Amino acid sequence: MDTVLRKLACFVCLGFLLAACTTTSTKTAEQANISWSSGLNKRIVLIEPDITLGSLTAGGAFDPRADWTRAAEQLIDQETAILLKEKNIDFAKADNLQNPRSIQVAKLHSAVGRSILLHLYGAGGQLPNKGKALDWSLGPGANTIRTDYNADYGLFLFVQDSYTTAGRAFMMVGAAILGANLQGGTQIAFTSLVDLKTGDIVWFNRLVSTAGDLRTPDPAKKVVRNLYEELPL
Amino acid sequence: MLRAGFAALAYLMIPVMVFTGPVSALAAVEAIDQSPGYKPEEDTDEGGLWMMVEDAERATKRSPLLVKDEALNTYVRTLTCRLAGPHCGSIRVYVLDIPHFNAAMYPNGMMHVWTGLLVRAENEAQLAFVLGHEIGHYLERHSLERFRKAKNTSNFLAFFSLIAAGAGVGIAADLATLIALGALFSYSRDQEREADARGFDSLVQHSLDPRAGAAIWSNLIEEDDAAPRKRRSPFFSTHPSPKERFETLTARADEIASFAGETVLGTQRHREAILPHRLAWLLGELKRAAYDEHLVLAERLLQTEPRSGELLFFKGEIYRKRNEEGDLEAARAIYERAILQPDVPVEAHRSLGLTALKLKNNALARRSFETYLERRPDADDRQMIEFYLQQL
Amino acid sequence: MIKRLSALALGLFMLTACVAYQAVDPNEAVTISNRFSVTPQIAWAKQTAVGSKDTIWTVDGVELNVLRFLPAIQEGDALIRQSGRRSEDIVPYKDDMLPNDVADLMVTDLTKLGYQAVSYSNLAPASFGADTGFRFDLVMSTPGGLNMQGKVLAAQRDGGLDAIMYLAPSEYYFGKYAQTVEQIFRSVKAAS
Repeated sequence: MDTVLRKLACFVCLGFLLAACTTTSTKTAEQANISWSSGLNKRIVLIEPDITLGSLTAGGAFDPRADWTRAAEQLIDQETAILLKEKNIDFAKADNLQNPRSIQVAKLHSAVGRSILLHLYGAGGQLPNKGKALDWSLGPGANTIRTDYNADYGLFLFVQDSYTTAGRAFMMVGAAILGANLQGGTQIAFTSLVDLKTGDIVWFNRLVSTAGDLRTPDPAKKVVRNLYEELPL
Repeated sequence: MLRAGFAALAYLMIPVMVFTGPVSALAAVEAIDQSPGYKPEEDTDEGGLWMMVEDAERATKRSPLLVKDEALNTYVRTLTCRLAGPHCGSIRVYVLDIPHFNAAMYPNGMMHVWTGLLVRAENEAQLAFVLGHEIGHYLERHSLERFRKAKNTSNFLAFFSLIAAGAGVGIAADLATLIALGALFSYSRDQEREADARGFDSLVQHSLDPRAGAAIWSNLIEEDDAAPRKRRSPFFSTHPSPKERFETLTARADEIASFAGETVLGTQRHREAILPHRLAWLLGELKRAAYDEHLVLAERLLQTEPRSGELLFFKGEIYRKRNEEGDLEAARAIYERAILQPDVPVEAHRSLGLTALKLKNNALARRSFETYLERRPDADDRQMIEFYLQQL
Repeated sequence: MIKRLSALALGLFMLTACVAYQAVDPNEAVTISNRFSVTPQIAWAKQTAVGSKDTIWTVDGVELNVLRFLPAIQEGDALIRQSGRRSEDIVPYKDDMLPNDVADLMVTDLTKLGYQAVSYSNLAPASFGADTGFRFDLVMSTPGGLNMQGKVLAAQRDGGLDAIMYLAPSEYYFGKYAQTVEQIFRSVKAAS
């Protein structure tokens, strides 16, 4: 069990540093020239978003709720679609990738997302060769997603849960959506916009908020707007 | 991509062959039998559990460890189907290339069978016992109870945090930790007793050898006993002891011995199914460097097939890699026997060469390496072997 | 979540949360633990608090590319020395090991660290500076199912085993610096 506790301790350290080192949340790549394929409607595909909603039991355990989660997924889809439509962009959803290469690209994104979080948001130490620049890519493999979904850009929506931080902090996107009461919890969501032609991450956003009572009206709208308000589109 | 939270479900993958104590009389247990096609309401905790399991299933389908071979899958699925009876349609079996003894069932009907189990089962009856045991947990919805119990403990966070199945489904870096935690959250005595009973009953129902359960346990115990203390499987230290369970299963088999009738082991059918894969699985086991346990396994397998070139090669590899006092000489002798057999892998010659090299038997090394290169013209380590030859 | 945890739990390349990085000058030869030197070729970032005798470089983050220098591995050491590894997980290097054994051992060590479906190929003699060493390729996947590739250059010399290992995801990242790593391999010189 010592190893267990030792590892937990590392994660605790990581979690607090993540919280402590927050300055600006949004990062835009220096070469984020948004361009669209001609002859097609502008389209963005939301790729297998990772969302879990639930509540905290009295004993402090996380209780996942399928109904809340499904509802949140739909609301996020809807709201993202509306937001994109305002910018004249079509919304597509990649629910269940089938192409093995696309799956590898999506898994690669998880690793890239963690690197961005670690190196651009403080905890992992800045990489001297990158500094504060958002300079990461998924590589040309992203094109398989582009052709499968006819979309020039992809959105990844990632929830980094806080099981690893001390106490009862659980991060879920839009727990606010259904007014779930997250006592003492912390919400962290991050999302990235990927140019599917090159695989370059052109925009990255991390949302951190300390939850109080989250029973506010239209919370889904707020979360999505908050997340995507600075999309360079 | 996939729900972060689902990974917690990996805890259900923890070796679940954790048995209960002696059965004096089967207590009347409330059996909430899972009806075929059952699905919980989304707004329940069971619904939440299922959601995470569904994600685990998607991860399973994408796992690099998923074994896709048709014939093998047919064998395991057909057997599972027989044992599951009316529930056959609700169960989906996935075989994973993991060199440990394990099978696990998830509440939504997904079943994982690790290749370490397939290579250790000596016959269909032994495999059937384990599958029947798992199906027992499933039918009685034990995992829900276990999940609920786990949720209410303060260790739950630690549990969630450290169960690292991830999107690829597989064993965590820290298998021992995983198992240790699993032991904390293992099924209760009653649950294991019920599952045992179901496993045993499966054998009887399908005229499979009722002693198979005791046999597979006995083999596991023997293998684990050989491990140095630090490497012993932590789940063996959970209550009740495997020894008790072996005794219980033996007693039950004895009880019915006089009226059991003709029973089947299914040795041939099992062997046919796994033979095309066995060498690869055994070589995969070797990556664990669990020499003492593997020697026990090798000896046991060789008892039924003393002249298998493949098994002799496996045994030789164990000695060669362990490389303790006297091991190289032992390996040499075993490889020399192995290469006389028709089913010996070509790599045995390479291994014999490497062994001979260390024993400073240059003539044997030369012969062996040359044979290897001759029989493996596309050897990807040709340059290295030629280098060794040049140095002789 | 678990993917991140797996990476961290592996403890292979990222130990504490509070790791800092220093710039590495592409053109200046770097001496590794007084054993050998290499010329970096490009601007790597060097991890400062490694928890190991090893030196670790990266460009994009250790999950995306890592160049690990393993100097002077001694009899009884694990190949991948990292504080926090339990003794029962350590399969020791032995002086009488042949290159085949070292490659096998690397597979075992990576397996113990949590990588899956690990295997090596293309084992061949290779120059390690002026010494004759050996090299091999690796494939594996992370617990999260991300396919990885690697290459190792090593030599048993001067009373120990020196090795250089490059690991990166197969998708895009391995190829990105594969040639750079070859140049680094060619730049190896014995430490004076």
